[in-house]
Amino acid sequence: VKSNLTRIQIKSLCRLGDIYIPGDESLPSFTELGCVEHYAKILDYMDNSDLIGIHLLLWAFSIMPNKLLRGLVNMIENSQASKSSGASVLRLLRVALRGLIFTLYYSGYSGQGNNKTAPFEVLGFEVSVYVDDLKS
Amino acid sequence: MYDFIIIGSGVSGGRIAHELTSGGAKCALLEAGREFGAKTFPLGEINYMNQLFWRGGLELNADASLCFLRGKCLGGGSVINQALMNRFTPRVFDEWRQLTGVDYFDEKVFSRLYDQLQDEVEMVEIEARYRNRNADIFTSGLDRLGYAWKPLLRSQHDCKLERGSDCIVCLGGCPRDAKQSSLVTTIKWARQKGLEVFPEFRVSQIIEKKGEVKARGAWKGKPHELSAGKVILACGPLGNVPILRRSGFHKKLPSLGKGFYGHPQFIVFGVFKEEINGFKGAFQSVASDDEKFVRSGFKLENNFTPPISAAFLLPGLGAENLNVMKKYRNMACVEIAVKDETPGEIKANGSGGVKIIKPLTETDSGKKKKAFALINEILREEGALRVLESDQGFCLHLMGGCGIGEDGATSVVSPDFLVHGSKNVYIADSSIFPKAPGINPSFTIMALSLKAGREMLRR
Repeated sequence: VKSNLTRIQIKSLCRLGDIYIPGDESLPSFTELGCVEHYAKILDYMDNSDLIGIHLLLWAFSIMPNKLLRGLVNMIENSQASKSSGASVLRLLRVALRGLIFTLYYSGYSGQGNNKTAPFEVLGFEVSVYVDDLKS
Repeated sequence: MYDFIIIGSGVSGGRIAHELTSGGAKCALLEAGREFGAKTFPLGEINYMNQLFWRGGLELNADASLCFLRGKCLGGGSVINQALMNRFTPRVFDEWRQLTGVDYFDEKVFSRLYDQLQDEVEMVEIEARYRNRNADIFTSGLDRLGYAWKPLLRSQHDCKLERGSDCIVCLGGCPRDAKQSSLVTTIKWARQKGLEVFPEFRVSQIIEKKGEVKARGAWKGKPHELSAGKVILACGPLGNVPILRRSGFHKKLPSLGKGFYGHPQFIVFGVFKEEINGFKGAFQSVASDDEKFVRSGFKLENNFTPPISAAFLLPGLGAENLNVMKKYRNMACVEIAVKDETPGEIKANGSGGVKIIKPLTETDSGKKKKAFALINEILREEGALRVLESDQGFCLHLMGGCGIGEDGATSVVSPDFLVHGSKNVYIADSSIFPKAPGINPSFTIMALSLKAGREMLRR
């Protein structure tokens, strides 16, 4: 299975991303950040079974009206404590969507068109390990 | 043909490889993941999570309530763990001895093994001056409420904390080889004595035939097979059980896959008015050491998470999640590890992979709730404006599934580390644990593997 997404699937991922991360005055939305350009950093390493699932999900979400998509995301997000029979599928979707969206957004990567401050700068996340003594 | 093939290169595989090659054995070490090093570890959370962990660290149980994290690279879990070295208490060994009838589950036996290992591999406690503000909040809160804590013993060397090193980077592999993973200790030493290493070798099955064992699978994507006198499985429960199942061992071993534990872990965040910068410096340096917690079936550790994990673990989405993330520098964080009572089971899925049955039962969930309430109190006492409990559990300590014992009907591995009914297949990693210890397992996996390696040489 190829890790490339179609334009429709990318658009679908951005729609979902903006529900999870709508942005505000200081932080860009998922789409504004342009982090979606870097999806291959995740998909290139996925097992085939996961990759098939992502392709299908993004295709299915692409034909859903906004209102329905938001409703579904809310249902997914409220599935953690549920003991109903379908809850495990919703929780699986929750992990997949949160995993994909938050990983891209807080990856430190952005797209070429982003004009807002990068999330790491707003968060103040800057870490390093001293290696200067090893260079010689 | 090799004397031994070792499948899996983490704490157990590396240690056994070192013991066997030191004794003159010809060994091959197979690892499903790629080989990285200090200069080549993938940088950044997105890259190391996807390149160093199985399924990006998001392997799930059947009801999708828990994520299971395990390393997929040369050095395995020892490359991506936090190098914590805890000795098991006499209580754990007494319980295990009673459960299994294995007489060397004895504090005196293991004290000697732990001492030998500590002489060989560098282990240190983080000096008080290098503890960060997140650790101070944790210890101050415990002190205030009258609970005991202790510094953590970590297998690391020359981290250059005085030069501003941030240990959180090393969750994706240490760029200065300060973390004493098997990659920079036992595997390195064994290579010097002739160990042959095969990264990117995925073993599909092992086949025993007339005093010889074949490891069959794919090496760098192409079918490959290696032969040896003996094979040692060292890929942890989620690696060992499927290999044994695909090799037909489940037909003779009814306990295969049963008795699986994971110390389910949960994170609690506290948001403070002032900056905490919990991700800076030695981000994990102390843990609870209180008998009341042990009796209640959990332990607490000062910890912190990089941004992707923080956003993923924080409850909520949209503005709710974003507004808390903007307070990332002001967050403190405490981790709970539950000593799970209810065992899970590793089964086969339709495609030769694993199906993890590990629900969080009411008993174990009750422990989590008790710990949540306590952390709430600690963080509020210390001035937290908000306390946020993560509802996403995860397991890093994967144990059991190939339990040790005398009887092949109720266990998988015999006390001499041979799989019941086999003369050529050994296991000595965390998958032989008969029950969750409630203590970080790495040091004891190392000790068991040291003992097993010597036993294999003696034979």
